[in-house]
Amino acid sequence: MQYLNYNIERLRQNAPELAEAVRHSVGGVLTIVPSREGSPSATHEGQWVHSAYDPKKEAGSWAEQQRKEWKTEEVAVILGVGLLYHVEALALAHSPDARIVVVVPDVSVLKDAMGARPLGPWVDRIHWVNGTPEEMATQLTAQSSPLRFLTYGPAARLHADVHERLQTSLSRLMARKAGGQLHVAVVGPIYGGSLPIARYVVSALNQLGHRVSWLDHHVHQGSHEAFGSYREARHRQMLQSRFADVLSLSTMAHLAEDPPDLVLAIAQAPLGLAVLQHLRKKKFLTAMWFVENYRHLTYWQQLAAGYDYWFVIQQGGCLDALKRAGAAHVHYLPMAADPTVHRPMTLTAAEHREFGSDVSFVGAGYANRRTLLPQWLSHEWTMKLWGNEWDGAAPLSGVLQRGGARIDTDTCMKVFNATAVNLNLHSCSGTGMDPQPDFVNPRTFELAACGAFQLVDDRTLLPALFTSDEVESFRRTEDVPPLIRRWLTDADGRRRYAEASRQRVLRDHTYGHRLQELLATVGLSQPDRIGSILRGDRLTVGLKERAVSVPELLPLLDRFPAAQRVELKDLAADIRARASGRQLAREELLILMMDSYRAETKDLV
Amino acid sequence: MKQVLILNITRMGDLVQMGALLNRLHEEWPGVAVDLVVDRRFAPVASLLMGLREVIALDFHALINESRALVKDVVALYEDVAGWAKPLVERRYDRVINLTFSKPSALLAGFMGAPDIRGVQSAWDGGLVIENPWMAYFSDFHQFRRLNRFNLVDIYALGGSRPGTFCPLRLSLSREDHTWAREALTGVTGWIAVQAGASDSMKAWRPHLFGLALAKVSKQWRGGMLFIGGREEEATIAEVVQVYREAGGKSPVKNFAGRTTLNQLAGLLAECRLLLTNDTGPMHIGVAVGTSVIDLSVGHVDFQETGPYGSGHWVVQPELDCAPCGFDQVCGHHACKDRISPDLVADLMCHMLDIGSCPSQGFGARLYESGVDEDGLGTFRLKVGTESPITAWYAAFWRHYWYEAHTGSRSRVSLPEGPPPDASEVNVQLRALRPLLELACKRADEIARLARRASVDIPQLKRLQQEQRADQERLLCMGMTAEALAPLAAAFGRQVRNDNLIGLDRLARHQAAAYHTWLRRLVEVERCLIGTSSSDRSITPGHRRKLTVVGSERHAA
Repeated sequence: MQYLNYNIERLRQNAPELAEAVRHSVGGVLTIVPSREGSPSATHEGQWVHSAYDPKKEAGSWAEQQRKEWKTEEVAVILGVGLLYHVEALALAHSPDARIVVVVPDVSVLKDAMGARPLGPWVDRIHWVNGTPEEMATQLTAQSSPLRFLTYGPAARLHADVHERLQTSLSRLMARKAGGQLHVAVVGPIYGGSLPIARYVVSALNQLGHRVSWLDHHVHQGSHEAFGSYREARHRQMLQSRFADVLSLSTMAHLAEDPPDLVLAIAQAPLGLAVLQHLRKKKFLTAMWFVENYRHLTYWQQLAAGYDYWFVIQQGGCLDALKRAGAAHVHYLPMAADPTVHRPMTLTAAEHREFGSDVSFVGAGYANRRTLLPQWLSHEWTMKLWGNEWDGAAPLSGVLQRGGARIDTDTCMKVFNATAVNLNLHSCSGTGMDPQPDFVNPRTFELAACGAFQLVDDRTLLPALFTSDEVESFRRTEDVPPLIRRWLTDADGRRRYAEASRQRVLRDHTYGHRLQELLATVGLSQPDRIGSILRGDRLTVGLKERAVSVPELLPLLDRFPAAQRVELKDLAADIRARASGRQLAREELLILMMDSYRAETKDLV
Repeated sequence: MKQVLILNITRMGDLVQMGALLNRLHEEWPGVAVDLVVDRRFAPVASLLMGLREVIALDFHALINESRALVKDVVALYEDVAGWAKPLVERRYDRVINLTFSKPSALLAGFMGAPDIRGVQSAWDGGLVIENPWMAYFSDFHQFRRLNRFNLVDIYALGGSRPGTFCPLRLSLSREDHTWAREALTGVTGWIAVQAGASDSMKAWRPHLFGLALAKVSKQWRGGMLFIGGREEEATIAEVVQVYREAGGKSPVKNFAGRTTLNQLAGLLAECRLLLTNDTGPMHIGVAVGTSVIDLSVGHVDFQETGPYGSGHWVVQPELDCAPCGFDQVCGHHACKDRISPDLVADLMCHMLDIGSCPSQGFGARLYESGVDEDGLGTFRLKVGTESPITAWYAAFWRHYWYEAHTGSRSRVSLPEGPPPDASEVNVQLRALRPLLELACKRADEIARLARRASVDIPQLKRLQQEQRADQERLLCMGMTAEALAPLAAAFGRQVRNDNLIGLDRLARHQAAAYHTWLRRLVEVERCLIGTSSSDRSITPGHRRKLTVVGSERHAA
């Protein structure tokens, strides 16, 4: 501890509040152990935070690795404090102008670092952020330059949850600031529950002002079903698998003809691992929003390493499982609603008669629903059951509507709006309540967005999305009838809940919010690419600022409005449009040459 | 000191094939400094070439990837490329030779600039033009591929430099490369190298047929089999070896695919008695280190263009109406590959290894032996199998015609014997086309006259140009129908669009000149094809004496 006072005084020069906080913290999070080489190293709960042999050498290697990613115009944000060897190595390896921020989730760790060894003048160049994740995110967004997160794993491990919350908060803050227009290719499924989600995603991206290419594979559903009509399972599987390969190739052809900034696949999109790997080799960025229960649908295991970014609707084990399977970036992104589709409706009397009831349930006949719903039938209330796959559910035959036909979204909205108490029971493969009730299904958000009252089975992730004043939930089967009874007699209460939940959706849970967050998360991880486009760096005005070293480009850029995003192909198209009868300048020839290479597709398809 | 810049960006084989050009440039300009622009992936091949001052590599694939996937913004992309290219402009090359016939390479050639640009380059308005006749021929002949008899090696040398003496392809290998190869190939005496894969599966013979052919050879051959190729060809090689073993192949096998540097690969090939290969980059390396090659010419490959250069090699080509197919052909059957029997290939290999006689029957394939003709150009002589007499006759004719037309020298290779097999039909076609072409020339002259006036009669000019365009389509359709006419029509079609001129007047004169060139050539060809005396059958003025006719084996059934 001989260095503590000296180091704290040094810190006080540019971070007096933090220095004070360090002085008053208890420390003792890290155990200081001498390394073989002699300098102090550290462990935490038996695991080494720095090398047991030579912490300085190890830090030097880490700093060298970061040079590949970190560009001079970016601010390096270091996750992981430890004994700051890595921060020192990074600071010394770069010019004094390089901007480095260290995230300090726990000042006690910093106190351990400051007591362990003398810190040199490099400390004066470090900017520190501390506080809650939300506070730190706010401090980071105040930086005027793009942020590049550099993680020193052994030390960052101590506060992985804080770092995750920090990045989520930062993504949300960045999302609000984003102004640039991206081109996103949304790859949808052939059929199934994720198909409407793909539509909502496309709609949200359009509304956010981005250009969207929708690769809608729903048009191939007829062929897919035809290939599924063979008697032998082997034939069906082989043909459907080959068909998915063809669609994968068709996706590739589309991307080759109109390359996007980001390929966003929605669960069940027919994109195989080989195509994803090829896309990565060709520098395309890919993301998957896996709007599925990862425990039931496990094809993510084969694709985990294929996508650059995974967004999932579950946390904890789901994130870990994907990472173990090879996913590089996994983020939690819950479901949402589309207020242009999921909305309050004024129904006619006839529609009220057709779609209305005291209690209703909309959904497919999964095993748990077949067991539980009959228990909630009662002569005290009317009940209607909508949806398909209810064959053989005899106890429910009296309430099943339209003979168990699949109902469309519009009908669904009318049912939600016409029902006093909408039951929302998440599907699972067992016969009781979901034993692992974590994610929140789309129905929860859709009912809320409709301004409809719902009783939903309790989920561990629900409280973070809706308060108990917005959505009523139940944990046990036997709780449902008394809840129905209670709420049927409290119309005002139902309206209050419904309106509160609708307002919450509009405030926090639309697909617009989700897509903003998704793009901001990718942007945060790719500050020089998606991040720069979102910041508007590729607008004419920004490009002109950076074209100082190539002034011959300025007259070409001047031809575009200041707020227009300009890429190579735009510049080339403008030159071509004006080429007739005019001698081209050398720089124009070079632009046309580069654009000809850009238009190459043979290596893709 | 003269300075030349060659653009040859994308292929291993093309780099090796420019060996004759490098030699010719040094003949033309002793002491010339020749630089080469190449994709970074192929820089190691370029380092084996002789006669280069500097290899200037750029990662063109990174440029494609980063611009296409929008990784970098336009300023960053431009800074990268301009930073690389501007110093080259400052060298002020005397000649730029573009051997990469692509639009971007043409624009790069235009950006570099030089008093003499050979090959495709950008015109003043960004369009594409070709000034050199051989390079123009290179861009035309895909429209009459089966009639082409010029190897790319010769086109590069003639177009990039001038006619000269024959020079075999060569690579510069170090003593270490040879030593490494000798040490790697211990165990048996004599090795056969096998390149069973290819960059494009269309041009690869079937792996199991390779296996069967090698197994048959191993019954008589005491040496070993050496597999070469890229790491991605492992599965193909595994299939070959499996079939080889199952068919009784006993000779020892070594697999070096993906395990050598290019220098080591060249060293290995230099140690082998024979290379059995698809038409690939390693084939040209084999040729350049003096190893005899059997080229299996399937898919869209035409050995007449890219086959092994110089003497001592053989080519197997399937006899099939659609072979070779077009470059952009997507083929559903690959039937050409099954036309080549493994027994034929095995027999040919044994013949080349001096353990068997030359096959006498092709069983659906043709065998060609490579050589050097009387003009010092690479050639292939049909040894087994049949060719269409019309194709063979016209291929020989056009080989002679273009050589004389583009070099201005008399060819020592004789014209084909006798009149063309379709002389009477050709006579009718020529008599139909010629008067129309004469009319078109008059109209083009009239347009040029009008365009030259101080005060241009725009409506009249427009009317004539409209008529000219309609006629042009018709004439091109007529011209492309027969072997006797197609190469001239293709050359006209390119020449008329090949305008790098500013001003209506100049453009009109250029177009009139293109029409007159076509007509002049047509008259020459007419005289050669249906002329009554033998003196009519020479193209170059001053050389109209009776020619010795050879090449009868080209159309021998």
